[in-house]
Amino acid sequence: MVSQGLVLAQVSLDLFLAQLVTGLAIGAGLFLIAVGLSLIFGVLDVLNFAHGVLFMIGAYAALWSVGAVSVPVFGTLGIGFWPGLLIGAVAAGLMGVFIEAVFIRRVYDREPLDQLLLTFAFVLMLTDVVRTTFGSGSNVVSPPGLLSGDIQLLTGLSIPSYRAFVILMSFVVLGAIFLVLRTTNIGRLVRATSSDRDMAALMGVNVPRLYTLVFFVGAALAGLGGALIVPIQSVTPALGNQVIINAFVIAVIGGLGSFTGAFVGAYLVGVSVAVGSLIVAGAGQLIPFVAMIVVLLVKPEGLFGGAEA
Amino acid sequence: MSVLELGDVNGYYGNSHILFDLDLEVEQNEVVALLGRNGAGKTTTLRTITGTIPSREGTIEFRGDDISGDSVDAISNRGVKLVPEERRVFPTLTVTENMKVARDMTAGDARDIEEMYDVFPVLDELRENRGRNLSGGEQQMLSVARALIQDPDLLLLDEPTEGLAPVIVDDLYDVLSDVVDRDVTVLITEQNVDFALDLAERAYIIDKGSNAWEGTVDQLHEREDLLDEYLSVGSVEAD
Repeated sequence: MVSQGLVLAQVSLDLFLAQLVTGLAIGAGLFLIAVGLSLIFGVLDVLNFAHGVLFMIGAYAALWSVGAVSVPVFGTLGIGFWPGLLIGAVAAGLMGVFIEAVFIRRVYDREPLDQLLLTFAFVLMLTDVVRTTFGSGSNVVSPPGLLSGDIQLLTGLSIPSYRAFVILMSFVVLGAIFLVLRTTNIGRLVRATSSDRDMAALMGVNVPRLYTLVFFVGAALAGLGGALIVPIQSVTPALGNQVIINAFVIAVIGGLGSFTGAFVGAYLVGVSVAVGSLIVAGAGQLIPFVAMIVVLLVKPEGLFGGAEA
Repeated sequence: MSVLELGDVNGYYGNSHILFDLDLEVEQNEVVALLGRNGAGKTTTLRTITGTIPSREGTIEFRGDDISGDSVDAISNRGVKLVPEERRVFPTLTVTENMKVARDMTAGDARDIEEMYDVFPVLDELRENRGRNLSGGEQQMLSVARALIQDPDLLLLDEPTEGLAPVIVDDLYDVLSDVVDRDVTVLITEQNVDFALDLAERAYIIDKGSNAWEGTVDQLHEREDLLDEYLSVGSVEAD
């Protein structure tokens, strides 16, 4: 009896650790979308509902780069996975610039609802454009050769190299954002403008141009995230809608505009989804929403709301 | 050629008409006081010059160029710098960072930050403090320093003494009279008439958004009646 119990405990511990690692990788992917959402909200005060679609554009750009999908006129690219990260980031960034400079710029002084409706229109349009272009099938690719193996963490516990890489990338992105905001001239300018754009303009800052730059960076981060998750998650035109809900949940939990909040929130959501599914199948998806409700009731500004930048 | 020339300027906030055919001129190296009661349109006049109020009519010329259609940042980059009534230091940035933003955004040659710390010893001790943690007087000093770093061709000071303790007002006066001695062109609005007239050479009095009087400070000192009529603090009309 006793030894049998120990074996069971051992099994569930292994399972728990494995799910924990999976959850961390999911969290890393979620962070990459939530961070751009937070950056754009923190500086421009715009809730960009189209952020999930920009993530999806990054994913399809990566698929194109690998050669998994073809684009009318251009055909397939097939130059491998790594260039796809850059193509995904730039494609989403440029689409973001188009959306910001041509459309969102006209509704800055309007209510948040107008901004949400406008960006939601892009969700619908771009989702259909992607569906028409690439079909509604689901696409899966394997990780690049370099990262195809596993990393042994403990006996019996290993983590796929690619997932470890995605987790590492989330730390790199968070670190890079803090470094740029804290130590560079442009970062200082962004922080100043986000706290008082009228004063920044009085000091000579071309605020619309700065906003476009920030929107490009935020959108490019979403594109990078989308390209990065392609080897982990099957990609369909519905991807944008799936991730934007999670990104908003994370933003609410962590505090909109806070990068630390986005980081902690993303990992909380990722881990609770993965580990929660051990308890009751399907329950994992529920936990983030429960957490969101609790945060909204207890600390409406989010765990790290109103703290920085 | 005058540095700034306003001709028949009308200014609006939404549907309310605030400035009526306002004329105003500031010559090179001159310090001009813009006086009037609360609500007379002094701040609106400055905001009209900086481009913050988009609905403006009439001519606004800076060094002979019409700037009435320019954006706020374009006007700023011509060398027009405002120290706003609310000070508007960046709350999450340190004192030094506030100054660096000003330095980085200067279109021409910026002044040295260390030089500013010599002019404002108070700020020197607070370099790493965040804007939001400064007292009102310290914020005012920083706001002025930030504008001076940008080496303005025209410095607009909006109620610089408002809400400051008398001893701080004295400090600010010392700093600003230094600034004035350096041949900076200044347009200053003040409720504190003595403060403004000690600095200025000429003055405009505006009332209900229109020109009421203009002349030299010496002339104004001989017209106590004007001060009573347009600037008396106890007036019930003040809003």
